[in-house]
Amino acid sequence: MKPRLSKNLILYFINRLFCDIFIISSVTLLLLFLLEDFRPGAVSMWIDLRLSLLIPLVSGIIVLITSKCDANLRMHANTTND
Amino acid sequence: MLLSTLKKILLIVRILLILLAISLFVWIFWQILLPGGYFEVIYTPDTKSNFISEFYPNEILEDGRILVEPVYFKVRVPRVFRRVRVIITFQNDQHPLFQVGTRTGHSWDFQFCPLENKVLEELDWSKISEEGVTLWQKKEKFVSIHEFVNNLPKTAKILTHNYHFSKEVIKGIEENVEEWNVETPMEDRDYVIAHYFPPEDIGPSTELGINWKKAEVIFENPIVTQGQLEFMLSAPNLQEYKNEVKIGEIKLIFEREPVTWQNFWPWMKHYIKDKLEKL
Repeated sequence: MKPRLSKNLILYFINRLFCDIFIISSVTLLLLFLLEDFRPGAVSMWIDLRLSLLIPLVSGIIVLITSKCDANLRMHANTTND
Repeated sequence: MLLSTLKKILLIVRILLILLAISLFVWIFWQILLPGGYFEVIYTPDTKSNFISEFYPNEILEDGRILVEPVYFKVRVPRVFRRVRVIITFQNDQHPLFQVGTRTGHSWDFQFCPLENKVLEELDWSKISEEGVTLWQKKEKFVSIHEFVNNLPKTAKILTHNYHFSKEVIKGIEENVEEWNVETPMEDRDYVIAHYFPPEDIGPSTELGINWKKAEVIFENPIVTQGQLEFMLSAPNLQEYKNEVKIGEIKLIFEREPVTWQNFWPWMKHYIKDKLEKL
């Protein structure tokens, strides 16, 4: 019998995925802003920085929403391991 | 089992995201460096460019018409360039002069190049053209521009347009040499010397029957201030004459020497040194 994806597992996956997107996009944006500050126009000439802010913002909100499920699953995983 | 598969997928996604971020920085650095030494910006009334600012203080209407001049605009550039070629497609039915200028410093000084000068084009004087310089003579006396420049007549009235004599050449006859403008009467002038290429005729417009023209001018060592170059489209007295000029396309081609390993490291050293000195 094939293992089925439970609702919690899907939410866990979404949470971890968006957590990665949130961290990496935040660090990237921070570096892009630093570069823009150091050399005005270097980034804003090619990329809409205000629009790019939406990526960490949206992913951060998704991480927040799904974080409870992630905590539950972690607890469950720890209990099973024990 | 399922959890470990998901974790593997997450790890792959993480690696891909990091690679994407790194390639974004490499791409931006590539765009700033411009290894090819070539950067092109195109504006048409239908397709605006991110690199060209809004037009000010007067505007180019949605259909490309200019009714009030001058029209200024700024172009954002990633680097300093050796030259900029400005290629403008336009319709000008009646106005005597249409020109483009670029700011030459921190003050409001602009260097102008004519795109179309109908007064000179319609002048029925004897004409000699050599290497982009044209000499009009009311009474034909000189057979070449070289001869004219080396034997400037002492009493004749000379007009210049987008052409500058060195001080030594016009020593003693400064009063007879003046710069042409739209209101200069041509009757009591004897010679006109201009650095001017007439625009290329590229066919009639379907709506108005006025021909589209394409003119190209070159500005050497344009001044970049805060990553921007400022340009000006000018048609003196356009409003008073109740004329209009219609823009079809503005193409700006920026050129500098391509990046090679020989010139990259000296440039990088100079750039870092310059930045450190400013800190």
